[in-house]
Amino acid sequence: MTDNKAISRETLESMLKAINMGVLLVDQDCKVLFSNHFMSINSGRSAQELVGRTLFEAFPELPELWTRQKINSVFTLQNFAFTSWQQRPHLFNFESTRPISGMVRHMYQNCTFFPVQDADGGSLGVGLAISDTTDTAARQLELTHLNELLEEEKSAQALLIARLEDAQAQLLQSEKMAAIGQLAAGVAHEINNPIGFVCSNVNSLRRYLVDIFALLDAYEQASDETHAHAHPELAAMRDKADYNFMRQDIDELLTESVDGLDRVTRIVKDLREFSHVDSYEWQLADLHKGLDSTLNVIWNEIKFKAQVIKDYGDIEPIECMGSQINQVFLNLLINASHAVGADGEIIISSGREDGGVFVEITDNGHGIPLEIQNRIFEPFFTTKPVGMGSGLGLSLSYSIIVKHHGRLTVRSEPGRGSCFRAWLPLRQPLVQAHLASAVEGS
Amino acid sequence: METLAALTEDQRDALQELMNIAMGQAAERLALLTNTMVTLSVPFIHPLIREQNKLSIPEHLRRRFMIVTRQSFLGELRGEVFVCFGSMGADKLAELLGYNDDGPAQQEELMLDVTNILSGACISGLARQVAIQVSYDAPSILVHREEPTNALDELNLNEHLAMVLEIRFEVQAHQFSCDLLICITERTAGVVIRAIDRLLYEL
Repeated sequence: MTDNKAISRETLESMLKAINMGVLLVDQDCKVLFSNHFMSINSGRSAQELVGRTLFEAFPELPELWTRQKINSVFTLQNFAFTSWQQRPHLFNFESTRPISGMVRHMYQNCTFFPVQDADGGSLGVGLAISDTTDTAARQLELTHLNELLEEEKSAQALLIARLEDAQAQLLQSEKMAAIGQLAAGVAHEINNPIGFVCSNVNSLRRYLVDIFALLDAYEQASDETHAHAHPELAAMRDKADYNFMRQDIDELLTESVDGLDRVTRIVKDLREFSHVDSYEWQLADLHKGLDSTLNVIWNEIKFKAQVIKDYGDIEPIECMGSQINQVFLNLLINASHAVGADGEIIISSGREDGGVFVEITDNGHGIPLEIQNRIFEPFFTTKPVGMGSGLGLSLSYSIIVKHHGRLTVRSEPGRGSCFRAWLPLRQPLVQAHLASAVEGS
Repeated sequence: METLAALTEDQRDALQELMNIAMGQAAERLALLTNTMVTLSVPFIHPLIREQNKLSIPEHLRRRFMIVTRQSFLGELRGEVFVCFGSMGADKLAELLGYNDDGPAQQEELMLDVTNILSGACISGLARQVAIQVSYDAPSILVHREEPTNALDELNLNEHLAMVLEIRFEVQAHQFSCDLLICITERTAGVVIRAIDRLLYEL
């Protein structure tokens, strides 16, 4: 093979003709000087039809300006030029080489343009070598398609995971709240009994004391001076015990105790009302009662920060889960109390609207910046310092209201304050309510 | 093994001269092809910049390249040329190279064309100076980032590099420029060094 003379020109030509890739030779004017079998088989035109014509007569699909520039650059730079199936899939308009099994209709090609020199080393023309990449391209395109599908699936899964995390967080929070509610109800119940008998005992005690003092008075009136002389130790005892003060003070002590007991009773009642142990099911509830008991529970947190103005309208009881709705009121009221500064004011108003009722909690606090107004209902979104807010309050409130087929909306003007508005329907759609209560019940 | 790590000052000067001539010829051919004024900067030569087997990018090249193409040159002299484009790619040269529609595929093909022409001109110029023959593979897109961050940082080049030549290519009339990094493998850098020594000997 090293002896070039052993191989004739004809042999070389027939090899070039037979090679299983497209081979063309063109001159500087793009006239075809040589074309092999591959080109004839795929274009359907014989070599005689192709040779002697320009590239653009022979293959009208070629963009003339671009092709001329390409061939010109190979001539001028005496360097290769390339096209790839990825950017220019079908340089020549040949049919697919996978006519039965392939999904593609045209042949994908890689093409190399190379300078061809004559025997003296002068520029003779430009060669084109066209290789069929249909198989590779079809596979690659299929892979790309699969990859896209996978990516789509991946992002869908990521979305699902995020939702799952949200749901879990909300579940956790509502479980926590339920546990707190049960604890509160338990404590309230446990306190309720002793407070009950202490109350009745104090009342009895008061009555007994009245009787005892009346008896003492009677004794006092009955005893005369001789009797006093006969028993000077009585006067001494009386002075020692500071009887007059004691009588006066016992009255006050009892009044205060009764007052204190009243307060404990009220707190216990509010706790029971707030936690609504019995209200994990749908029932008719008076929202004003819920608002009042919630206010009482958090009164200590609010009373030094803001003045609370109630502007209750005339609303009828609605079908809801009382403890959950109270949870919403609690979140909104606490947020409002956190938002206000000096001269804070929280207005609670209610009324009828659209076949339902609304409750508005308006504060004159710092408001919510415009850019985060659409994020405040997202789980874990919080503007409070680390450890202060879980970022779950509003998202939980939102999901509670949505579960009640209501709407929770916000209007806020930075620097002026915010107004949260919950709208709730009077009655729940029948099926939903049953389903939900079944879920809650389990 | 002969490397460019320890070039004498004379050798370095000779190499610079060699490259200057090669780039001059390349610019001339490019001007002839495109019928416009073409500027190729004087090559900046970094011998052996390597950090834990990774090419460390010179500080002044850490600009916001978004697209990097590559093309190999093969033969006695082996290595790869990297061409760094900005977000516009080579769009400014579309007309010059006979492109008349714009789509993402056309934009890529145009950049590959520019890569092929530039690396062909530069490497052939160098090959002619050291009297050897080189061949090329087809160019391809190496990094294509949507965000304007430094695409060069993503390159993971672990072939032992002997030499990096840095050349800026400008076509002023079309407000186009891009940067070329020519990396020659350590194993074939000897060809260049022997040519330098020959050059110095002939002086």
